[in-house]
This record gives sequence, structure tokens and C-alpha cells, in this order.
Amino acid sequence: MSAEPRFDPIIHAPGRLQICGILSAAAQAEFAMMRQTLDVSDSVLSKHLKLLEDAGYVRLRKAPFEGRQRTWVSFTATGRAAFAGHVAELSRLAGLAKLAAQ
Amino acid sequence: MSDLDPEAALGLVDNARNSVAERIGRCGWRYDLAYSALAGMMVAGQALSAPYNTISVAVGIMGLGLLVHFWTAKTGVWVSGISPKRARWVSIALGLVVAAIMIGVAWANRLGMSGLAIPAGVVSAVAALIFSRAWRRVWLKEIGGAQ
Repeated sequence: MSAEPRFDPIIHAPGRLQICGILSAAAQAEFAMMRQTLDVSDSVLSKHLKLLEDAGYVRLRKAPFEGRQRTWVSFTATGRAAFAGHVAELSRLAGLAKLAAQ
Repeated sequence: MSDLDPEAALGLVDNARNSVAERIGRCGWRYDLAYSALAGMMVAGQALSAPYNTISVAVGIMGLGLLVHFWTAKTGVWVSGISPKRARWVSIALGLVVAAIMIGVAWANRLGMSGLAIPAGVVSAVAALIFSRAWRRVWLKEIGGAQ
């Protein structure tokens, strides 16, 4: 990722960081898959997703499968760019921390 | 900044990406064989007379759609096939190979060599199998690590 480093406090919370990590690898991820990966309850995951959705970072879509409604999540272009910038900033800070430790 | 240090934060991102990679890794030989069989069927179907050759393509496209739908539901993740960069080129290469074979078969049919469609279908199936395996390998390699 070669984005301009920019720290994003909305993304930085561990749960939301993991959600964005998933969405940086997959075009879409299902709610249950995310819950399992993050090891959180439905309500906690919903809160994280709501925050990201309100920031315009993710898009939620409901689709039926085998008689159940399943929620699929994907990045918006804004979210993808914000995450790339955040990861670039984390990499920069991690590099500085390594230099300081030497 | 919250109390999560940059190194730990990048570790969380890597773990999250690895969880997607692990799920995509589950689409093993069964997916690849079904995918290659459908690709081969669409090409070999050109040996049939109209409208059955067109129907074979339509059935193949529907089959590919169902295959992707099934595996997406099973793994809980969907990857587009055209991202990231290197994996995209594997997809494009497969598309070009199959398209070239299809055009070749259509041309051969015009020249009255409709028997070529069956071996061309086998070649397409093998190509699809190789490219499908290659795509996953490239994708998994590319997706590893957030930095």
C-alpha cells in the first residue's frame, strides 16, 4: 500500500482495525465470518460496523441464503483510502519506533 | 492515539488478512475441478449445433455463477479475482487463453472442422485448472502482510 500516511482514530480501535483488515483482503465479508474472526458478540460487531458505516467507510448489504438473511460488508472507496493511509501511518510509526530502539 | 502500539496494530491487520486467506485456501481441488469442468464444457459445447452450442455457454456461465455463490456462502468471504495486482494478471491471462481458444474453435467450425471443439474443450479445462491453482497461489502470496 503506498498511500499518504494519515492516522485515523475511527479505524484504529482494535475491532475496527480487524474489520478493515478483513475488507482489505476480501471484496466482501459476511457478518458471521467477521464475528468469528474478531471473537466478539453480534452487538459489539454491529456497533463497530455502524461507526464505520456512519463514517462512510463501509457499505452493508443484506442477501438471503438458505432461507436466512445474511449481511455482507464491503469497503467504500473512502474507507479503502482511509485504511491504506492508516496502515501507511502505522508502518511509518513502527519504523520510527524501531529506529529509536536501536 | 489509543493504547494500541503501531506494531501490535499491524499485527492485528495481518491476522485479519490471514483469516481471509485461510478461508480462501479452503476452496481447494473441488472448486478448481468444478471450475475447469465448466470452462471446458463451454468450449467443447461449440461442437454442438445451434442453438445447443449457445445453450452450453449459458449453462456454463450459470454454473460458474452458482459455483462462486456456493463457495462465497461457504467461506463467508468474496474475492473478486481481479485484485490485487499480480493475481489480476493471472485472471486476465486465463480470460485471454479461453477467449483465444473459443475464437479458434468458432473459426474452425466455420471451416467445417467442428471436431476440434472437443479437444479444445479439454485444453481449456486443463488451462482453467492450472490458472485457477496459480491464481490462488499468487493471491495468497500477495495478500500476506499488511505492509
